[in-house]
Amino acid sequence: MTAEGRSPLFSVITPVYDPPLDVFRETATSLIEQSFTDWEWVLVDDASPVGTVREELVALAARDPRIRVRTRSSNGGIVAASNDALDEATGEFAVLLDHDDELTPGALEAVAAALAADPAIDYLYSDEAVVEDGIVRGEFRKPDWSPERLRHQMYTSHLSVLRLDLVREVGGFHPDAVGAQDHDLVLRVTERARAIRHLPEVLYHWRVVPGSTADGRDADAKPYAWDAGARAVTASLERVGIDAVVAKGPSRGYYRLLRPSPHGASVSVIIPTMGSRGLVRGDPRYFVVEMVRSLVERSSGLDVEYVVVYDPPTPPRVLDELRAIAGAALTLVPFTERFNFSEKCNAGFVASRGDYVVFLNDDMEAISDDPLGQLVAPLAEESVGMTGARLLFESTRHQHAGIVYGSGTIYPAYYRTAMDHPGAFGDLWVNREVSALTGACMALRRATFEEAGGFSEAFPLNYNDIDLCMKVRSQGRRLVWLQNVILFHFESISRETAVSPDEIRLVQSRWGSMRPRDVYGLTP
Amino acid sequence: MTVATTSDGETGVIDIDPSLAGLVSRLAQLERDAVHERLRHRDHVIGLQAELVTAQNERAAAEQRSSQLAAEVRRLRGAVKDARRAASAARAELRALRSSRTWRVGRLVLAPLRLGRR
Repeated sequence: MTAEGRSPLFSVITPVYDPPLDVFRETATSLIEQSFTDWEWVLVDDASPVGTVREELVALAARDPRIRVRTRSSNGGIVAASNDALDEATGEFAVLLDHDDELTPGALEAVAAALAADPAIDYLYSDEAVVEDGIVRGEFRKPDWSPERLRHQMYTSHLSVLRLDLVREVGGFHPDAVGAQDHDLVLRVTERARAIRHLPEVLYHWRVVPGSTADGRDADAKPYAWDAGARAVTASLERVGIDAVVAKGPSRGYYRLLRPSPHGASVSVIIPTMGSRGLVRGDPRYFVVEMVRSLVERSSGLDVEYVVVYDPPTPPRVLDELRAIAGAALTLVPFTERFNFSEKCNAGFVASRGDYVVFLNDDMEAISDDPLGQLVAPLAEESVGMTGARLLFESTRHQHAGIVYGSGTIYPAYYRTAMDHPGAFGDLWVNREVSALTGACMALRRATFEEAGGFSEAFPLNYNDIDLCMKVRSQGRRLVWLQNVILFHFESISRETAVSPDEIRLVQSRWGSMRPRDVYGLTP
Repeated sequence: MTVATTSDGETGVIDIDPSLAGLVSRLAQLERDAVHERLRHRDHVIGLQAELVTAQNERAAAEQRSSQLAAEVRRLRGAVKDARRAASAARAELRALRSSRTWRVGRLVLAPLRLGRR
């Protein structure tokens, strides 16, 4: 409660256990000197062994009526202490502040302004910086709301601001989630939140203190947290009805979702081709033949049809080989119009019958197991409008890992980076939402493709995939790049690469000039 | 005999009069053409809606910029007016100084010096 007896906007929640006092004093200063003053600070001392900590907290509370201290008689752990703080809180929003971190100047003012602009916001998170000895070691510029990514990584982290009523509704911090209690709480809250907002400003300094999670040099810092995070994600998937097994990812704090292939699902693979030929690993091949062969060898349990849309120059032997490989699953669609990639793909769509459609270039080869099943499995979630894959050059360097639309450009992210590159903050280790996906490999529900009007034939060569992605996003759906679906993309030399000024003008007139940043935080 | 597909996706072989086979095939093609046209129309509508939103956003941005520039022009005009007033006041002060008795006497006293410099 404020001195006037009303509830403040923010209840800053801080469980305290034996912090270095000089560090804690800086934490306190960063809050007390905030320009925005409508807050209360609820500190819960979780029976710190050093008496001076308790004295420090009491002295602090004596100086400022907005600060309240509760002392636990015995150590209950971070979850118990955090829940004690929630019990004491009287504000509208909970602001999570660790006892050794800092808010940046103006942080609460920025948050208050964002909340005032949209009263439906139930959860807000900001960007953050890792700071050591007063020096910024790195900044985490986060993507806009990305629920799929949150299942793979607690990316929202700090600064997190949650509507207190909703926090109490989901039961506060969960006792089983020690080490990943914030991740668990954010998952629970965001499952019910009306609106979620990302503030693209650094409002929080996550400080490197020995033993803290920010200190990556201490690899044993909170090892139990990884297991707790896996349990939290598993529980969240059960609550929202997503069928997947959660496995640990390539590094602490990362997870992998293993979705089962949707058995019996009807999938139409649409491949536009001219029957071109080229060398791969020194051997000549007809690209479309090997593309289909690699899919047939890796697909099981799905009802797949292969719709090959071919131009007249396609050699008859190519069609014969396709018939031999795919048999009754093959549908051949002759295309005799002037070359228009969009029209060709749409022609394949109208000849198809699957509940899911997967568009693939002909110059590719599947590497991972069950690529079709893994591409369509996430589409069971209605809000996912499209999925795409990790595409590699023959050299195994990245050809596609999501597309940047913003920062003044349209560009494939992590282009030509090594296959085992983690990406910034694990971008290449996680399934994640992106601004756009390449038309070389994209999967959609049939209904979503129809609703979006298919590929726009006003883009005969370029940007047709970007435009389709924007149309799907304008329907309120997410585009998800899948790190576990991997194909080679040889980018055959016959591909037309010139971009016409008309196509550039059209994509800008439809979707606006480039924003200053890509909303999903990708860098070109 | 011909292969036919019903509207709910069921496919089968049916015994059909050859004269009707062409019509069945033509009907299937017309259905595909209709689906294709529907895609084109939806794309056109969505494209127009998107262009409208973009144009509205760009107009709002342009209006805001115009407003900022207008404020800047007003500020500069005010500064120019102030500068002109100051210049005018300075000229009046100079005129008053030159027409003063002190100035006239001074010029008279210093006249021989000016002649000597020439």
